Amino acid sequence: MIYESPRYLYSGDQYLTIEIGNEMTLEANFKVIALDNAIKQAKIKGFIETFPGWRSLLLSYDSMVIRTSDLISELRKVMLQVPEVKEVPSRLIELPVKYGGRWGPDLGFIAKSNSISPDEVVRIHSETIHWVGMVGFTPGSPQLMQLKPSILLSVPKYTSPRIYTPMGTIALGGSITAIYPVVSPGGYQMMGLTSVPIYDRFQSLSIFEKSPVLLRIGDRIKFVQVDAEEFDYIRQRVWECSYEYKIKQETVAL
Amino acid sequence: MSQAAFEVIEPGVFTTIQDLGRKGYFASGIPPSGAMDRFALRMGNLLVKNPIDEAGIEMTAIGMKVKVLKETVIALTGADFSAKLNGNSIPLWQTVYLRGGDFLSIGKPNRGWRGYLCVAGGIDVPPVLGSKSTYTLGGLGGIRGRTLKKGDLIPVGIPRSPLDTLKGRMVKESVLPEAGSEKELRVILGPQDDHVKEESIEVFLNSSYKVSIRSNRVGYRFEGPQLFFKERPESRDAGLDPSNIVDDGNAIGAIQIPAGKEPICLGPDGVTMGGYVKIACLIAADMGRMAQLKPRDLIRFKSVTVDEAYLILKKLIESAEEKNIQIPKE
Repeated sequence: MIYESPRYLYSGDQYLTIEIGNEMTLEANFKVIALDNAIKQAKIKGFIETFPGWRSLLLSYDSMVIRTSDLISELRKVMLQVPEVKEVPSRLIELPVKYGGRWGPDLGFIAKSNSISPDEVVRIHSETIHWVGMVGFTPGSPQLMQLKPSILLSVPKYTSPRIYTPMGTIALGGSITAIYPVVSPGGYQMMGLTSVPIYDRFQSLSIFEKSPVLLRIGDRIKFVQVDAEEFDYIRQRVWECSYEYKIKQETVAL
Repeated sequence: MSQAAFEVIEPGVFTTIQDLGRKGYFASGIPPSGAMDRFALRMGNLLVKNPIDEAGIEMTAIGMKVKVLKETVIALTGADFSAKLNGNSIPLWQTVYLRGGDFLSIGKPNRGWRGYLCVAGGIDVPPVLGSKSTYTLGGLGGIRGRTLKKGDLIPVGIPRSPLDTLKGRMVKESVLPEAGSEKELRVILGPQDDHVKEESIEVFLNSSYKVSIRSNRVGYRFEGPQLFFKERPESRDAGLDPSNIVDDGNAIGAIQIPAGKEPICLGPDGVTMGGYVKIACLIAADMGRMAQLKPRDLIRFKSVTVDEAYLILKKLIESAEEKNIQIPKE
């Protein structure tokens, strides 16, 4: 649910959590995006940065510049002026994926959990548009929600996290898809691998010129199935820095 | 042009270049990083007359051994690593003059866990995303985004003041961290303390915790009693365990309690989000205390208000000022 009025929760003395609701919904996410924009525009003194998420926003501030109680009263004022947002700008980004096999060793398990074939999992996953609801944990890692899937794919996470997840892994945990931008531990079921980076610390591809992170809240992703040969070809293009991401600027309505 | 001032002979265990951290990339999953004991870094910079947010070198558990390549002035702050210059002990919290050909050996800490080396002119590596701080997981900052290794040449900027004006500068004893003060970590309850049973909040605030061996800049883990959660309605999005919540952003200093066991207090390289109840958050002023905890140290958590946290931090920041540097009498 979305709360009647947001909750202001202390996250220490340099951060504040503003909680909108307690569920992952597009509606809550839209509210967070609207709030995020309003806070950034308000230019409250002592404000450092925001981290918008599924159903809450983490705000960092300098307590030497603004006292926490003053910050909260400023935010209450901002809150009164946050417009109702029915539509947000959203980029549609295509990411090529090789599903299954050594690229996604848990695809069979995902199929079994959903009582469908691995091919059907791939078909549904690559047909469904995915919504970026939050970015983080590791640099640039998105959490993705399936938008109007023909069948909602869902799978239990690992009971004990594995210690190694290859870079670029696409994985499902519950009904959320994650992409692993760097080698890291992980608990989501691995279904495939993308051949293009979503995090580039050297900022060598032109898309990363402004930030080493590709994705942000409100983006949408279309996974495009590729075979091993295409996968290698695209990776080669990435290494040569000649790969061009397929991105469309659109708006999304609730 | 900056010149290398040091050649790393032995890098120590986890030695990184750190300033006061990176801002503006939290929403991209990139935590601020930066010196874990900011007071120690600030004081070190003050001693060598650098800007207070200049980069220094943070050493953990075992210090580095370096060959000095040119005349310079350094200050060692934070943990006492019983550092030696050409075999002779050198003091902590004061400037030390080095000559080309000197050998600086920073050993093991006999008090504290993280030591800082600041050098006149600062460590001259290019800022990445606005900061020189090393973030190893993301491969950002410092020298190629990693810990220092044998053979690294450490570039140093041009000193702001002539080296002879730095001679004999030392931190006044009255502002040095009190011995034993690290045994208490002050926290502000929340953001999800309301998920935890009242009795367990009492247990959390009244128990002794042992620092786990698996503690680092990402997070410090504490071994202690089991904590229990209130009954909550089933949640579609939060996961089955009552220690799960719908993922939200993690403050630096947030204390997660997965399954009610082993609180994890996130450090400057902490993961930016997660799905675990955060019972409390460490106050900013005590991140430096936590930085000085070594595995198996015993600590307690103490609850303070945001207003108390403000006063504590204000006092700490104001103590890292020039008035608290003792200058030798002519």
